[in-house]
Amino acid sequence: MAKENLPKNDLQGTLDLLALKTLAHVGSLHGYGIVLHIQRASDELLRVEEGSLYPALHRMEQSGWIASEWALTETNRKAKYYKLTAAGCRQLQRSEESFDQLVRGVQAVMRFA
Amino acid sequence: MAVLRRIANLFRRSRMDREIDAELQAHIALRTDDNHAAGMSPEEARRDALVRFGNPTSTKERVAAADASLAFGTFWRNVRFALRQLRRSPGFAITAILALALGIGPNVAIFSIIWATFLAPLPYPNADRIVVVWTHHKGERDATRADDYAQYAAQAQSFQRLDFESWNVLHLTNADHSQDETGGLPVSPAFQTMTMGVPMAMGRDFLPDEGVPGKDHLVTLSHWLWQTRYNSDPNILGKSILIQDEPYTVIGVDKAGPNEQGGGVEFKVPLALPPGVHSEHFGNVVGRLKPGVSIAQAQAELSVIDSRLAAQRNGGKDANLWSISVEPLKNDWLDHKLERNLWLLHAAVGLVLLIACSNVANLLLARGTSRRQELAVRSALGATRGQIFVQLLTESLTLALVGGAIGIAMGWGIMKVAMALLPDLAKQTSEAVVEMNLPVLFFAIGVTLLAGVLFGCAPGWQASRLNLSETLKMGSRAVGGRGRTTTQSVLVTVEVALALILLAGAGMALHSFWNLSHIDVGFTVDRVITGQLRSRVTAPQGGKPTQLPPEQIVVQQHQLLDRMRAVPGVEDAGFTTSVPMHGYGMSQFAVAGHSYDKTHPPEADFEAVTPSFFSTLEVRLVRGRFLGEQDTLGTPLAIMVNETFVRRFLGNLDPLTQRLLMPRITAGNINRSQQVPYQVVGVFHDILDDEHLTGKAQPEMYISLWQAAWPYVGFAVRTSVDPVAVNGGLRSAITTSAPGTSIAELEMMQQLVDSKRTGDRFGMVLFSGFAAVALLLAAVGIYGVMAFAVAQRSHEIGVRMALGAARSEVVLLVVRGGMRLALIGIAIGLAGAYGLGRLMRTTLYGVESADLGSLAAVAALLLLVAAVACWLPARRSAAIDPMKALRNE
Repeated sequence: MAKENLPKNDLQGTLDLLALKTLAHVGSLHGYGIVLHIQRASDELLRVEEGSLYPALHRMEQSGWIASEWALTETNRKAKYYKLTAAGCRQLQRSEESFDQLVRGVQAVMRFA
Repeated sequence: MAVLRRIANLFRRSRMDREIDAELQAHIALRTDDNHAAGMSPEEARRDALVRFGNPTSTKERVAAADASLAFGTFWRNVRFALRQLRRSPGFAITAILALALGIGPNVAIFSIIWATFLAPLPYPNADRIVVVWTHHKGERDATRADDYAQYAAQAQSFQRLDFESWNVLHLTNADHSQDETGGLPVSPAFQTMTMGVPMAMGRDFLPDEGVPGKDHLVTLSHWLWQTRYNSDPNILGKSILIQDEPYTVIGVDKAGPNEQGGGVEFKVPLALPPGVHSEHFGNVVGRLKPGVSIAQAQAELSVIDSRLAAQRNGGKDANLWSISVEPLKNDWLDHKLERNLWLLHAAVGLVLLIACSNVANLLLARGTSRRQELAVRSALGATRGQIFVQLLTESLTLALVGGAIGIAMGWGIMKVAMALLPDLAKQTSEAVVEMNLPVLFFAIGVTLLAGVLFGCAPGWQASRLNLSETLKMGSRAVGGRGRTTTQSVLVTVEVALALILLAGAGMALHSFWNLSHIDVGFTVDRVITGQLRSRVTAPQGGKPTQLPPEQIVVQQHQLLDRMRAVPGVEDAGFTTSVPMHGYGMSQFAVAGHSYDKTHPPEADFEAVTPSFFSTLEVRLVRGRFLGEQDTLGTPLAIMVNETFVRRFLGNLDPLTQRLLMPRITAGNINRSQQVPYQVVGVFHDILDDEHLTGKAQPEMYISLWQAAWPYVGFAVRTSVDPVAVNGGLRSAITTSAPGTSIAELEMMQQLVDSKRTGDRFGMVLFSGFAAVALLLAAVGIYGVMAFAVAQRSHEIGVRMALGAARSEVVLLVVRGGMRLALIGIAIGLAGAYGLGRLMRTTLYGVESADLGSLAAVAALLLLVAAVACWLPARRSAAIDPMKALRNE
């Protein structure tokens, strides 16, 4: 699923979903780690513009879905680590459901055509 | 909560900026590290990291936008954008801001005066609980009898306290036992501290049991009196001063009030009202309501009490003519003319603001047209109509706020100048100080925002009607649609109409003031001094002064008058029972041989004057003769009447053959039981001496002081030199000739007449100033629209000229377009001016509500200004080089 296949309006939501899912899976992670995880987990199919992740992270933090704290990486660099909140877990669930619907809808249309 | 956090983020912006920076840099550093580990060279590793990351600046902005509230961020971004736009077109910005400042400034100034005069809470604790109980007789406010007050106070349950302020003025007594001008009043004890809630600066207020005869010789001083007469003596308490020639002990000094200039109530003594004893005092009843009692309840209770009292008043006669009202304490002793003028001016400055708003709206519309391209591009790039509207509104509000800030400063200046030019105004506006305070500032900001929204909607509305593809296609050639032109034309027409209304108001105020200052008052005003003679209150031996016999009074007054006329610099002097401009003493009379309706007998002003009174004031004789030295105690009673008297009461009768029946007056007594005939010996030209100088003469009857022998008189002196120079001479003439007599209420007639015109002068000065502003704004408005129209039509004009139109034809074309708008505006404005004239009628003197002279003058003035405003851009249009105009396409 390349990003250009998604309607413009859902691109943002998809990025949110990917980040939330990553954090649910890994626990606590900094932005760069999330980017790496998405790339690895999608077998390099999904390559987001790395900077565009940060507005999404900050927006989700303002919405209370994720929380952050500064910590040191293994290579001794200071980075901001994010982790999922309870509200984030519920949001992830909702996002997954609506994404499933979207995929099923698109697939149905594709098969019909 | 998220909202709160976002707002909080706004204030932590700089710290957050650093944090975001650090986070993004960490990301790039981590990627660079990994790249390096994967074998890239350091430069390559960093370059790859940056490429993968994307534009760090825009990312940072987007992250910050996510953190801060979107709305707030947008607002500030819009404000910054607006300021940038304004900087880019300084001509537009300066014009619009100045127009707004000119619109807002006068509003702020007038409101500051209105606030202090009518709206500001009076400076007393819980002032809304303080009420005044007014007695009404035949619907007119009247003084309340102390006897009635005592009954109210004893019976009414609605009041915490009910107090009485007597109108029986007491005077300080000088060391030589003459009466001083400084006056004070008896008040019920503890009135000031308990009811008004104003603490003393020094000492104490009267105690309740000091309102008892024998204990009541105590006095509290005003701050002004303490400062000026007693040199701020810190040990004044306990000292004894003379009031009405009796010793009183000073027990307190008031706090300094605003606008203290002396001449008011400068001391108070406790009012003694022993129960069961009839009191001669009349005055005001002021009370403080009990908590939870409304004014209506208090009024209902007092009305019941008062109707019982009214049944006993005057033996129960006319009981139904009396009523009472309980009213909130407010500044309603103001000169009515001034009050009306203030409200009219408030409306006038409102119009000025409207003109300024339509002016700025016009400018914005014109600018909006040249910005169509920009807006079309923005909207093509995805800006919604709402976003564009909000952006334009933000621009308008930014303009309004800048203009408002300058306007507030300007208003402060106008207010200071107005108060300095019109010092009497400060005296009249009473207890609150005219100043720039919080309520005035709130008003100013409110007006500013309202103005911003008012004129900001025009370009917003215009932009929302933008036809995207059309605009883009037409490119820079974009010509305003018919809708825009109509809007602008309507706005200019409205401006002209409003300006005309204001100009007409100013014209009428000027006309009225001119009339007033050229009014024939019927006597000499210049170099005339007037005053009251106050004789000793008690005889030197103590006890009440015995009344002198009439002959002796006349002889003493003769002597005194001769001394006064002999003072160097005095040309003439006369005595009178009523100094002009100080009101009337009305008396009933009958013309001999005529019968009158008993309930409405004729009434006229009745005074006694010395024969020299007429020569002093240079009153003009119409018929017969003046009162003369030949009219004495021994000769038949003579009387003079004025022209108004003849017109109203004598009709076609020959006045010189009439006799008037009135009580005999002599030596301080009026014998009402006996009507005696007074022969009319002459008719004098009306003199206007009413308190408001309205120009309507009252019927008047003057008898000779030498026949009336009335002991209480005032004087008028005409001087050949500066009146101030003879004051000393007059005083010494009086003290040597009549020891124990002093001069009070010494006044220059010219100043007195001028002060009567305060309200008119105030209205005229400010109205004219604001009308000038309106004229300027309207001129700018017309000019702006015409200049814009010329710029827009330069192509068309170029074609016309290329096809052979003469320059004069082109000029005419442009001027005709502008003048049509001006003429329509003037026509509408004339109708409005007529309405304004009707509103102003009561404040104007000798001016019809359709004051054709003023209207024609201001219409001509406005036409002239409009013509110039049209001609300037028209001349520029004629200078258009046809080739250039066409090539520009």
